[in-house]
Order: sequence, then C-alpha cells, then structure tokens
Amino acid sequence: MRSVLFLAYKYIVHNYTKTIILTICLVLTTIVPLAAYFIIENYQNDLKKRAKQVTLIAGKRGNDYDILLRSLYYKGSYPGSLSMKNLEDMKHVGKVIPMYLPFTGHKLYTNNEQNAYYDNIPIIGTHLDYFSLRKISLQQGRLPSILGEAVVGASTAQDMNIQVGDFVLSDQKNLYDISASYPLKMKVVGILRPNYSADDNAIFVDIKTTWIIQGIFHGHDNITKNTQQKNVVISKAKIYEYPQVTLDNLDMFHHHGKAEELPITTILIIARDHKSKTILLGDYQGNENITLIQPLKVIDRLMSLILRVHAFFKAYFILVITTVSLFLVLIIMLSIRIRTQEFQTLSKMGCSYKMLRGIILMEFILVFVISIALSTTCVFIFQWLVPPQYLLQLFTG
Amino acid sequence: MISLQNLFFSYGSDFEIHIKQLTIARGEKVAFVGESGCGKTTLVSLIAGVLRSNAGQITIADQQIHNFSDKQLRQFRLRSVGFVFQNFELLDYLNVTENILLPFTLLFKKATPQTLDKLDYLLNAMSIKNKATHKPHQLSQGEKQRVAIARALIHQPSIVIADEPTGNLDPKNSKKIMDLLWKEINEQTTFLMITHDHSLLNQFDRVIHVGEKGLEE
Repeated sequence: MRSVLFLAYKYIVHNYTKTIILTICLVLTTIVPLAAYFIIENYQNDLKKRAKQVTLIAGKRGNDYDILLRSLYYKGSYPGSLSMKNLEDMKHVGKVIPMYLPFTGHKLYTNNEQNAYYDNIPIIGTHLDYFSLRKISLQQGRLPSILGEAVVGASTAQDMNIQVGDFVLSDQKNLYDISASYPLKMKVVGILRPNYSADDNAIFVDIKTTWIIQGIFHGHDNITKNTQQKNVVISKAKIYEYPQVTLDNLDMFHHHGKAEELPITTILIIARDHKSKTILLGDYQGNENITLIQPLKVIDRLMSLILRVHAFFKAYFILVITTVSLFLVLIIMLSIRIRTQEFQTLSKMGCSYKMLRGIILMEFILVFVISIALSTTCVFIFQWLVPPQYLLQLFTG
Repeated sequence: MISLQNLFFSYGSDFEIHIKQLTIARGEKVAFVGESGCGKTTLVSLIAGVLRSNAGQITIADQQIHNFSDKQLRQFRLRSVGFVFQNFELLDYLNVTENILLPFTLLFKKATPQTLDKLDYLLNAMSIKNKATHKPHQLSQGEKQRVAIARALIHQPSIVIADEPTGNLDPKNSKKIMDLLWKEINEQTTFLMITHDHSLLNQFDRVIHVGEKGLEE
C-alpha cells in the first residue's frame, strides 16, 4: 500500500499540470452541490436557531411566511397590525413580547459625512424582554430607558460608523403624505454586541418610541398656556410638534386614545408549558383577525420549498458527476495508453497488474481527495464571507 | 545454472521458437546475437519468466520456473533478475535514487542499511552521486543508462539481462557502459546480453547466434 501511495504521489506531483487541470475540473464539478448542501444546511440551522426561542408568533391573519420573516428576520412584506389588547389577551400563557416593525431608519449624518453609507435599517419597537430572549448584550453604552432613545446592532453601527451619542433618524414612509409625522430624531445610547443574526442589522427602540414615529404618541407646545380664559382651549393652526424627545419635553408626550388600541405587528409568545400553548392555539383557531404560527413548523414548510431547489441541485449534480465520470474514464484510458511503456517495464520487472491498477486508482483517489478538500474549503470560505442571514435576502428581497 | 529443455514458444502462427537444449552455467557471461525479429528478446524473456513457454522446461538454480504461478514468476523476477533495457526505461517521475531503489518499492520492502550502502556504492561506481536527486529528464543518455544499470544491480540479482544496453549510445559511452557492467557484475552473476555490436563479443564467455535454424554457438 505504501509503495502504491508513494508511486501515485510521485506521479501526480511530477505531472502537476495534469493534476491541477483534473483538480480544477473536479472542484468545479463538486463545488456547486457541496455549496448548495452546506448553505442550505446552515441556512436551515440559522433559521431554526431563532425560531426555537419562540413558542408561537401571533400576527394579523394572512401570509404566515410574512409574519415569520418579519418577526424573526425583519424582512419581507409587512403583515398588518394587531393591537395591544391582543397582547393583553395572551398574557396568561407565559411571556409575551410585542414587536412593532413598520419603520426603518438611518444615521443622522453630519455635514462631513455626506458620502457616507446609507441604508434603510429596520427599527424594532419592542420591550426590554426581547434583549433577554435573544441573549443580546451591549458592547457600549446602555439599553433605552426613556422615549426617543435607541440602541444599534453591531453591523449597523460598524457600517454607518455610529457611536454612542450619535443620532438616528426614522425614514419618512411617504414623502408626499403631508399629514404624516416628521421623522423622529433618536439618540443612540448603546451599541449591541454582534450575535450574528438579523439583530446585528437593526435599530432597537422602546415600542412607545415607534408609536411616536407613527404619530400616535406626540409632544407639542402647550396650547392652553397663553390663554386667559382657563376653560376654553385656544390653539393656533400651526402647532409645533417636537421632532426629538429630550428630558425637557419628555413629559409633554402623550396620546389621545385607548392604550389597548395601540398597534403592534406581532407578538412573540414563550408559552409557560405545552398545555398553555395548546389551549392558546385552540382559542385562536378559526379567528378571522389573528393567526398564531408555530415558527418551527412554518420554517419546515419554507425549507420544503427551498429543498425543492436543493433537489434540483441534486439532479443536476448527478448529471454532471456522470458526465465528469465518463470524462475521467476517458482520461484514465488515455493515461494508460500513454503510459503503456512504463507499465510494461514495471510488469517486466515483476510488478503485478493488481499493483498497476492500484497505482492508477490511487492517483485518482489522491486527486479526488484534494479536489473535495479544496471544494469544501471554498464552500466554508464562502460561508464565512457570506453568512446565512445574507442569503435570506435572496428569498425575502 | 540455467537449463532450457525442448522449449517451444509461439506468437500465433507468425512466430515460433524451438530450443532443444540450452544450458548456461552460473556466473557465465553470454551474448545473444542475430537478426532483428529472430527471437533473441523472446528467448531472454522466457528465461527471465516474463513470457511463458507453450511447452518445455526452464530450470533455474534447480527451480522449474515453467511450473511457477504468475505470482511466483513476478517474485522470481523481482528478486533474482536485473533488467537493463535499450531505452533505459526509467520512470520519469522518480529521481535517480528512487529509480535505483524501484525493485525494493515493487517488493514493498523498505531499504535496509545494507541496501543504502549498496546504493551509495553504486551511485559512486556509476559516477552519478551528484545526480542522486535529479529526474531522468535532467540526465544525459549515458547517465540514464548508468542509472538503469544501478537499478538492475541494487538487489544483487543472480541473473542480469541486458537488451542492447548500448544500442542508444555513442561508441564512447558504449564502452564506458560496458566497462561498468563488466566491473560491477560479479563472478556469481549470470549475465545475458542481447547485442548487435560485434565488437563487444570477445568479452563474453559464449556467443549464441539466434536464427531460423535455432541456436548456434
């Protein structure tokens, strides 16, 4: 065996051009199915990792995938809103975390940063419980403690060069909607540690802050301040609304409606036990307004779609591997023909046909092993450079 | 001693060789001459166990090699026969040292200290010590043949077969190669050489002419 390996190794090293060409052929053949396999595997694990932390997700009845992708990855179409009353109704089953997710924002750049990186980063309005659920910790600063404060995910902070003390601005959803609220200027009070998920590319605020962005909560000048007739409210047509929450105007923020009507996008439910979960599912079965999704089941459905693509890759791989195998057989036959003299010499000297076959086989095993090792390395490098959450964009836009 | 009795070999109907009797003593140096295609190479191939006869007996050192299995024949060739070919037949992917040690590689044997001493001796004797790590394409024709001779002698075979070893060399290199062969092949080693060069024949104990009528001395 050692002699066979020695002769095969010497041959492929000496004929390195041939070896390199064969290796490239095999790498190109194997890299696509290997990449598809590993990426889908990782993609699935990554999707499931976040989904496993949540028992159920409540959302507006409609597309389950939108609810899942919006709640877990802050991607996809907006699934519609629920209200805080729905949250109250579900509190008995365990921990419930509201999420309000219609907004995006960006760094408020200074004049010196005109050409800086700009992107619409999702603004996540939630409770502090969300940070414990996702085990998110801070690398700088503190979590939001009052309205109008924000913490920024690690990647966003790095990409936009955001420091504690900088400001982020909510994006105006419709530039031509003159009745819409002005963008809210929010102070960054903390930068999160990376947790290699969608949380790295997000701006987190208290859910009440998102209601300010929405215009439901607002702060403005005291419209009764200058009147002498105490029981009559006299207001100017132009009321100045505060574009930023500060310690000075914090007390002026309020809303005119019922607290239970305040909007939320989804509710992350961490059920106390299996029984609570089952009862809640039963309660909302057939509800026309609210749907409860089981994230792992929806992911499995989502993956079955992706796995169909995977199956295509498998079929493609079989086709390609068959073609390449035939080419390899041709190469082996040509190689034997070219090396007839060498094999005759070895045979004359006493080398068995079994050993000759072993040498040829070993040469191809070595080339194959090198190729697979190279393909796998390339796939891992690719995965390292492009983490699975970026691949999600391929599916969610 | 090598003994051939009533040997018959044929390649279909085109070529046949009949040998009633041929005896070669141990340590004898024998040259085979004859026209191209007359069967010289076939004859020595039969003696070396590379080819199997259709009939007859070949006895070498009291071993009836015509009764050997394929495996036994291969083992016999690897252990007891050294080959020197006209075209040197070195493996281009092995260096000089690895080519010389090839019989041990094919025998799955590790080179012992004695083997390495012998290797060192042969590298010096063949004046290729400074080329020990060179590949065949980096050697001259004469150097290649010296490597081939060292390869044929490294495992101290009882029979050395040389098939026109000087056929591809100029007269100066031919003489040098033959001098080395005569010097390094000891008295106990039987040396069988096929040649067309009649100037070399006077150095052999016997010259056998292979022709249509059979063997003539």
